[in-house]
Amino acid sequence: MDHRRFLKKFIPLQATLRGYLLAATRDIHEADDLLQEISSTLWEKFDKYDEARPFFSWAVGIAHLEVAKWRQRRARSREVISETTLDLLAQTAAQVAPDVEAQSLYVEGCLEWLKGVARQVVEMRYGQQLPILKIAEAVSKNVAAVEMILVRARRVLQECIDRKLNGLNVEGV
Amino acid sequence: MSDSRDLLIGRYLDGTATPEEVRSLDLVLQNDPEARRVFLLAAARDARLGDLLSGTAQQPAAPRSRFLRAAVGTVAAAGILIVLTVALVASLSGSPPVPGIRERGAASSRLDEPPRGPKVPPAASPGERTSGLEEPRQVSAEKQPSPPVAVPNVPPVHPPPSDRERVPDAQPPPAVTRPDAVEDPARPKAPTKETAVAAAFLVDVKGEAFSLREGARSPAKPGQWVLSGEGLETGDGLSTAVLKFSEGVRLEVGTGTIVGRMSNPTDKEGRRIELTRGSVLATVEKQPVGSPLVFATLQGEAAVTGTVLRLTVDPDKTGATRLEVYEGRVRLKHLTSGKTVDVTGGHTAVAAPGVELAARKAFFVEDFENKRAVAARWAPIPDGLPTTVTGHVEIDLSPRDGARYDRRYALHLPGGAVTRAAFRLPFRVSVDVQISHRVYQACGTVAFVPAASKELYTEETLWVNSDSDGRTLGSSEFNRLAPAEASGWDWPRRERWTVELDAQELTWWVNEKRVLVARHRTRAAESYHIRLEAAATRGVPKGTSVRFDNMRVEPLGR
Repeated sequence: MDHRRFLKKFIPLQATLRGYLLAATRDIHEADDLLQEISSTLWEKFDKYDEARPFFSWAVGIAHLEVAKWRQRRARSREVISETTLDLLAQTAAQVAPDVEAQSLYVEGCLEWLKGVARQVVEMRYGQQLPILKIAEAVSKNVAAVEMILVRARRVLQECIDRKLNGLNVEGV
Repeated sequence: MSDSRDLLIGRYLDGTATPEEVRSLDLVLQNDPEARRVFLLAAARDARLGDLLSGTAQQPAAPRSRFLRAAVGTVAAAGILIVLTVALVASLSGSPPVPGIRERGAASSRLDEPPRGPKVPPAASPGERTSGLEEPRQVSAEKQPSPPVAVPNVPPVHPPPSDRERVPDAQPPPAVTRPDAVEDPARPKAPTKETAVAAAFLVDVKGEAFSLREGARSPAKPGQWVLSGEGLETGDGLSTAVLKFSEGVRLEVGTGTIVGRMSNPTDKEGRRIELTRGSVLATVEKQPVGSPLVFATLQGEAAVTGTVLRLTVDPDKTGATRLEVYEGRVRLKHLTSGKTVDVTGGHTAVAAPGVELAARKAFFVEDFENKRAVAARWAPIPDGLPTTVTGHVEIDLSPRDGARYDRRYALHLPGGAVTRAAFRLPFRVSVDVQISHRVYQACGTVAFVPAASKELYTEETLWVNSDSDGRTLGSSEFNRLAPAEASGWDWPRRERWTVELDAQELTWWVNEKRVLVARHRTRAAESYHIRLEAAATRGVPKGTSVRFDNMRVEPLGR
């Protein structure tokens, strides 16, 4: 069935597309709106999809058009990366898609490895979606210190994810 | 990893980066493939963290095996089953089975809405199962994979090592057995062996190229066979590839091109090469009677029995197809209208919506091989750097003792040649350009001199220009700089430049990728001479040169 064929192709790419859209928009809500639009468009056009062509390229091509429209509507209000870079990212996205999928499985487990203020800051940033300034006030640190805490926390997460991707024990991360 | 790069990415995603920092990140991303990878992973990870910590996501099922991909495949089956079931139920109930994050149109106002993450379609009840789907691993309702993950990749197919060394020159394509033991132990093993026939041999790759097979994309390397039914994609930047087929067919695959599928003369559809996007330059020896090589695109089909041609498919959704024939005859069919046209050497035709299918004669086709013809068509640039105009136009930029270099820019007067004829707007000029060394201030230029001008250098002259690090387009009144891309360049650098000039604007493509465009600041002239030139400072190494070849000027059909 077309539904099944479509979903089998689309679902594995969803996390990567979402990352790409977040990179393009800098706003997870905008990214999710766009992903919704794109998934609808892809489904509507799926009967025209040429199976000989990589699905991801086709999907990213459509995502690219949606991002272009979004840029016309919204991007002026926010500084975002350039069209050229988005082109390059679209190509890279196809290569990193398997890692993104695997990463999405491991993020939660790796959160366990964040302790103390690092965990607190990450919770505020992603759970409560507080701006960095508010987080800095809440933890009685300056903005630069909070940013570095986030950099290091993300690095710990990434290292944990990378180890899991490579089948290594993550004890001691 | 570098603190500064990670901080920059973090600040961008956190929304705290200044405009300068965004531009700085932009440059880093354009020039560093690893930074692009890190950035995309970071963005996807941030999105996932938002889901997890804002409580909008359900727990994913982690793979139990260390062999990731095999496990991922199993978990994927479970995830897909759940989502598919939802979609199928939705479709049966009459609603469109869109697998999006939310129901379309469900986006609500930012003000009254709590922080959102991706919404996963509601889970099917545990008892629901759809026949014909993969058997899922037991996944509890509370532990659904979210987001669902990949189906196992199909492994890339490589020929036996002995075959990699051999170039198939007019030999029948070999049969290649797909290995059932794949390189990655984590990937599922194919149950049986299967024999496929090689369609082409990948002779050369510059930059990046990928084999395309059943939706999977894997890096392609020189010495590799492309099997019947497979495709090839070249990366952006200056990536190119050369494929060699049996029956004397050679294909130069341009940058950012997707050759969707290739088949053999022995296949049911005959020898067929599908071009999805980008451009190919094909040299085709005389083909067996009744067995033409067919190039297929979204808009047209070109049947070839023996010729040299360039076929270009626009990356936009129309897939407009341009056929340039250098030698011989090609029949081009516009698939929508069913019309056909025979295109002979020196002619061009375009298959596209709203464009009349007709062969247009190029103004000018120059391979610089005929010395007399070259002398009749080209004038040397006086007092410039030494220039050869036989076989190609080559300007020797080596330092010249005792020669006069400009005081302000320290440049010698450019060498090169200018067309004696002037070409009426609108037109397109294409030319191969090779710059030998990456050295500062050794540059190649295609310049457009108004026909009415009495001098070779005037303020109204327009140009496109590239040196060791970048590209510019402009005139004495304006100057556009292309985004940095030099880090990916191979040296000597060989490119195909195409410039379109009409009364409104000047547009420049490199290897079929548009790099710069600018509107005229003053009224354009009616016609222009074309100058191929190069210049350098005294500091370049001996032997530095810029070469131009295979130039073509044609009217624009608009």
